[in-house]
Amino acid sequence: MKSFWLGCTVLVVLFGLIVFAGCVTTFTPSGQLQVGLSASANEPADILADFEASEASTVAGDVTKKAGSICAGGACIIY
Amino acid sequence: MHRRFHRFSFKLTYYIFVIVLLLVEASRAFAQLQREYGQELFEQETEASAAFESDLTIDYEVSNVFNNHVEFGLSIDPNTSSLARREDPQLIGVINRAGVNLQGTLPLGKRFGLTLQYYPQLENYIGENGKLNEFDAFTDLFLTELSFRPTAQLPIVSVSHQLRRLDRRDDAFDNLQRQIGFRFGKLLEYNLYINRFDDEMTRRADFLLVGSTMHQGRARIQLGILKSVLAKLEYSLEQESYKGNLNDLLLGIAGIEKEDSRTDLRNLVSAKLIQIPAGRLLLQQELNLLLSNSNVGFYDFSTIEAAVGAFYKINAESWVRLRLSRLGITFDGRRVRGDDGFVGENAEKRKDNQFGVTFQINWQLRNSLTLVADYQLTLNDTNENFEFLNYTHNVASLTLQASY
Repeated sequence: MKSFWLGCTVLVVLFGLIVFAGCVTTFTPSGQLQVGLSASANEPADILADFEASEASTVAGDVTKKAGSICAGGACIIY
Repeated sequence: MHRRFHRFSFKLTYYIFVIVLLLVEASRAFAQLQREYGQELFEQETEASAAFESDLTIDYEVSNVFNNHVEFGLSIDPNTSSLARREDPQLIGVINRAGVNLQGTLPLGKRFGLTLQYYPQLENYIGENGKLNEFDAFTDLFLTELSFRPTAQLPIVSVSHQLRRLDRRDDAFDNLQRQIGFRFGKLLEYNLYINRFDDEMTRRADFLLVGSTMHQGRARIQLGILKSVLAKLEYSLEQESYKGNLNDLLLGIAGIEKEDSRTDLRNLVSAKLIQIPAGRLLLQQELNLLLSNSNVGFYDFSTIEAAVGAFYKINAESWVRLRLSRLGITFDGRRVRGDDGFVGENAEKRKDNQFGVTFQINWQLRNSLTLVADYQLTLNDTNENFEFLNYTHNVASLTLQASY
């Protein structure tokens, strides 16, 4: 539970920094909340939507989704 | 008594501070949204762009996948599988898949939309003198999603319910996964996954073969740094609890008491920096952290991944993508075995290093026909004394997609 509250605190602080810094917040057509950190920050290009669609949704390094046990010669090894 | 009072005062002050801060932030954000979009954002909107449109798509997909480590992620039950007594754990095979994805959206009034999806898919495994046939599968996916678009400027709010049925030739794998989701654009997301196997009485040798319930919360934000430079931050929290129908061997290795069950808490943080130096070229650098805490020490681990990627758009529907990554995994609850097969007193933690390469090409052959070629290479290097964990994993696939 500690990490949950830590995560909540980080989110609140981040949200506060964004709001108090006066950054311009907009929603992109894909539903992302975009915070403009500079005046020249612009609408994302079309290529971004294609790139996002090509990305796999799997989480890097989450061995719980991939690992299992190997059973060889009558014995099993969990890895 | 004094100590308890101090702790209580501290907690009370902390929560009051958080609530006040949230209220101030919300009022400032509200004022900013009003400045950005004007008063009409919070009034009744009649723009046609906010409405959902009727839509029906039918996608056919046929793919052939070569995989030189089919066993990863599948799990082989020593009680039910004909592969359990093999000397070599590696399985090489080809997986053929064919599926039809039917998806339709129906507008319900001006602001609501209902999406229905049905996606049946067949999987056929070839290799190891026909012994991989036990993995042949039929999967059924049925999704219902109700969406609400408050205004044309704000993202869609949606609730969804998904059922996914997996039916393999070996009944040990048969399960039903239910997913209930809530989304606010890509900003906030909550998912509840309930995975139940048909047979929950037989004691299994792997957590991949027992049911689980997972709560997942996710928040994402995008930072526009310069005209062609942006960053993405993502935080995700997962809690997964597993069923307890496990055999004594696994309980012993994992150090789980018979009356206990395994619960994992996973924190994921991802930071990505994206540059678009030219209209057709996109570059990305990313750093991904994952911290998994389990009440069973055997499943405590943390990973850190650094990756670089490039994406090039050839024309409107064709593109190529390359990704290079390095991943480090530290298993905090596992110690390396010595040459004698036993764990010594001062044995170091198990650490794996993975180098990954992904190359993908998406080529439009005709208006509604696309060819996707994908190659993934993973080199795993471990300090554990099991040679099979120093592996090279190759996955190459060819997919034909047709849309109507």
